[in-house]
Amino acid sequence: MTLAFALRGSNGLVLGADSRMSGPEGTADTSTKFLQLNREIGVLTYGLAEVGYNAINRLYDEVNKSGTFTSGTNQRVVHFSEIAQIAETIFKETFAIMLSNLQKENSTITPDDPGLTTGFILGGFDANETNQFKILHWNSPNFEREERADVIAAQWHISQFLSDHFYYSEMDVEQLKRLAVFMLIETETISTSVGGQLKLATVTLESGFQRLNEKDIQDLICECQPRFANYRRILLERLRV
Amino acid sequence: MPGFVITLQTMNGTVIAVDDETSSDRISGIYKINEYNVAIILFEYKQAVDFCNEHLKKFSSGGNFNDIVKTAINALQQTQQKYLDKAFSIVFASVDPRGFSSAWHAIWMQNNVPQSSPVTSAGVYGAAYQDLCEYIVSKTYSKYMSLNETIDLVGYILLQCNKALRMENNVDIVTLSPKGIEKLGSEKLISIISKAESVDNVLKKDFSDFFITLQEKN
Repeated sequence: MTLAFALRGSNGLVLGADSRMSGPEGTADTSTKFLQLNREIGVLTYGLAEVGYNAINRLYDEVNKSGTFTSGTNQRVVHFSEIAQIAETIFKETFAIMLSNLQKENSTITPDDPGLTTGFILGGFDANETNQFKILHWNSPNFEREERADVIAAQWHISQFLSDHFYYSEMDVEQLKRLAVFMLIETETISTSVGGQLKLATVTLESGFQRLNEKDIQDLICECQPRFANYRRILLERLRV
Repeated sequence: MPGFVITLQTMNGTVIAVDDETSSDRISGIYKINEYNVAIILFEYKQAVDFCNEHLKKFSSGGNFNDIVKTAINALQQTQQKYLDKAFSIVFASVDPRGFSSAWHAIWMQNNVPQSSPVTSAGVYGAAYQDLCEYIVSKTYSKYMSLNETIDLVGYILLQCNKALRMENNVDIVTLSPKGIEKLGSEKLISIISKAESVDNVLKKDFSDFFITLQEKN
């Protein structure tokens, strides 16, 4: 599994994921779980790496295929709602293809098998229709679209606990970045299927989709160090009275 | 619902939380061997209760913990054919009536071979809840906590599981202390959860500006 999330704040979004890939042969911290689709929209995946990777790459190609705005054919897809519609189709198709291949080898496999859990999060700014930052979520087996202010998926229990205690929608992107690092590091301490390099990106009106580089993330981790200690101290104070 | 068991040992007793599901496919539960010894069943509830009834009934009026464990291990080795491909797993817990010590030992089937081992001081079992429970335990638990502190901590964990995972079933909390085995009544359970709720509200207040820097505050 993995930890993947999108948090909406007052002036933008923070998208995050770890980079661990787990399988029968062990784990590798090399997984690419999110992609930038255009200036202000990104997509994240979790669960089955093969389906997720294929689907988000196909979506990227579909959104960025060459064409002109005036020709009417191969027109570039730019609006959030259009991208969401295409994404839904691609996610469903890619999952169905994988399922049918698996069922050829083992006919007892069903789409709701927990081992096949796959999901996607689309986050970005909807400049065309609502003028808002949006987070959409799809999860196997039905891939029904769900819109939320925050989505925390896959190995979500610990991060959801943290989000319930720290997150509020008025937080700005800078504060959300700190929360995102905090959630990833704290989840790693217990869940062995979450780990490796942390991947974070922000979406703001001014800068669009911006992936944080390794140094930025390292700086955030360093900045959060006193918070880890402080957090533990507060928990001990309040829960051991 | 998966079986749900949390066991936390303290200096003067043990707190055990276990789901109180009554359905026929119940997974986990507590079997009282005698006033100071219990068997905590993690999986295959019905089969494990039959096992205890068959082999451990003789200790119902009293018995040494080591004898109970030895008897259980021997019985499992002799009857292992019955438990092939089963997730058979029991943790035995005991407390000294004089209050000096508590003891823990687990027996289980692994790859169809009986296994046994002493148990560490904290245990959380139940796939859906395990990571969240282990996380809270890892942040707060110490075996030097008092029994009451530990009960409150278990209450807080249960509250978080209820909130995050929408647990449908109720959970029993049982303490094993020098006074013997005691199952907490529903009123006590409500007061523990209510206390956990107010602690949670205080925590939320504590954390309300946790990610705001001094610079941003000014």
